[in-house]
Amino acid sequence: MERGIRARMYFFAFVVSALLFTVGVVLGWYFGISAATGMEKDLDRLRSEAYSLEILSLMDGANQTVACAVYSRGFGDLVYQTEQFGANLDYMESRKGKLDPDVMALKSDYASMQMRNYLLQQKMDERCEERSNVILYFYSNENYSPETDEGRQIAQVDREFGVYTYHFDVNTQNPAVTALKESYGVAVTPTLIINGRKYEGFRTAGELRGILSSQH
Amino acid sequence: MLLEYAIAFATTYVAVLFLLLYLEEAEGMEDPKPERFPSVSIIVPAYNEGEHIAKTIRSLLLLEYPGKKEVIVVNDGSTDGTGNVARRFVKKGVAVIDKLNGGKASAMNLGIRRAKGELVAVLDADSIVAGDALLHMVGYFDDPEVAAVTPMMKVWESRTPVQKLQKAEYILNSFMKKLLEQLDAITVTPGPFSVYRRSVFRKLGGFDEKTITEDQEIALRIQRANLRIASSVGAVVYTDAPKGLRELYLQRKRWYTGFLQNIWEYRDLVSPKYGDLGLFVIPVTLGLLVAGIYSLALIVANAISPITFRPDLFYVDLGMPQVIAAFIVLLALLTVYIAARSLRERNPLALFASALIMSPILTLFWLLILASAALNSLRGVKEAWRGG
Repeated sequence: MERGIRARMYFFAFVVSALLFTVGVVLGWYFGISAATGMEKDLDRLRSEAYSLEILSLMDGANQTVACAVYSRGFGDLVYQTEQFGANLDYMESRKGKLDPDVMALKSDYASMQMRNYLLQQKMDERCEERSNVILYFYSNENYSPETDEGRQIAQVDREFGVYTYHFDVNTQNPAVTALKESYGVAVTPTLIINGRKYEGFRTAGELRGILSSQH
Repeated sequence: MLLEYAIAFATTYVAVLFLLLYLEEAEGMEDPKPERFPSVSIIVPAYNEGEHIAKTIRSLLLLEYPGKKEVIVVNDGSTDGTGNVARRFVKKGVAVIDKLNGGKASAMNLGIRRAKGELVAVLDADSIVAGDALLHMVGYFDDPEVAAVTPMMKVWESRTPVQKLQKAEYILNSFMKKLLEQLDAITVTPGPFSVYRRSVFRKLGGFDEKTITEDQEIALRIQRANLRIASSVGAVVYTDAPKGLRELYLQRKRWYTGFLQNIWEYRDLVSPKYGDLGLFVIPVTLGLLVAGIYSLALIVANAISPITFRPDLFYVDLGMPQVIAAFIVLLALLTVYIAARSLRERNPLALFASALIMSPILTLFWLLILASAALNSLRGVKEAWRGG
């Protein structure tokens, strides 16, 4: 029997496969862009809400009481939505990698957003004479393990104690985060600043409960 | 990531190639009409098959064939009365040869030595042949280069879920074998009713009595001799498939260990001298096996990483890997659909669903067996077998 090699068919199959792959690459790229665009829109919406609440901080005199009431109704929702955005961003980072340009840009914007919310809260707490429970949570997604995910522990106690939590990835190249990190001398992750006091290393939900109770 | 894309591309390429082969040779799926009906000797090697052999012999006696045919049962030292059951058919022309137990290959070789037919068919004693099977196969022997013809294997009475899974697998395997025929690259002539030209055994020798998958060894030997192996899709033979996972595990362990041993033994086939077989089919088969093991490691790694269900469309990934994976799944489904249509399966949807739902589970299962078989092969552990 004369054996042959179907070179033309192998070549044609290569061309078809390469075409399919190219379509896959283009579609994947398009869907990736769509996801990033969707995230940017979410961020714009959050910025707009934060901006509206910031205006409240400029109101004084007789308007201040009304401003405080409106603020206390709206701020919790803003913080919750920002946290959701952060969770989505973490997921996006886990899928696309921390070096993805979209992820890097969104993380920097997210850090600014968190910082802005934190400063707004500080200002409004002072003006409205309120004292909220605040946790500044400094974390790193490097060497992530679900067992030592401090975010999960915080989530178990934040509603119970009415805690506002601000998440900061220490690896984010954002001047505001760097300033905050340095002002508290954050050297390890996780580090928690609970109502101004620094706690280094992983804390269970039970331990967090103990800390928050003791501060009241 | 680059390696995953390379594997994905290779998988796409193979699927595309087979679909192109199908499109090119769609009309060649029909079996050729025979110009003559050479004499056929049918050898049934049997070891402790008292439960099945009567049905097997009856199916052979009912074979429609205008040419001369003889049925030779070789009782390989059975201890369950297989010989006595077979002897009940002596009056109907069945020859029964008793021998000391020596393994399936030795039983088949004894049968071949006694055979008088121009063609020799071998049939596992737990298989049943459709009445027109031989008529579908003999036409291929009009081509003097054809040394052997393989049948369309189906699972006999698939009752258990494991058997139902194998039903889909057997049909797909038969389809792939038909496509491989176009490349002269069939690498196994299965025990259930493969038909050989008797002169092939004179030229190449009988079945290898040392290997554990003699049906693959003889096929590779035929390929090395540059003879042709054809595949019939009309010659249906029903075989008894393992009912449970343990039985399936033992069968597959033997098959895959034998596969590794034979591929090593016939590694010289990987050469341009052997055309598509040497340059494409064997290297790609081995490459896909390695890719399979790598994929298994990935699946295991992902299985132990945390999975959190989040009811939000945001978490439905639609990146590049997902789109490419979707293409591969679609190609696989298209292949299943075409296979079902080509082989006139009554219910392509059932086959489709079975392949769609169960093939990932089976792949995982088989890869574990392959890894274990490879380990045994390296350690030199011998597999015990009696047939099947």
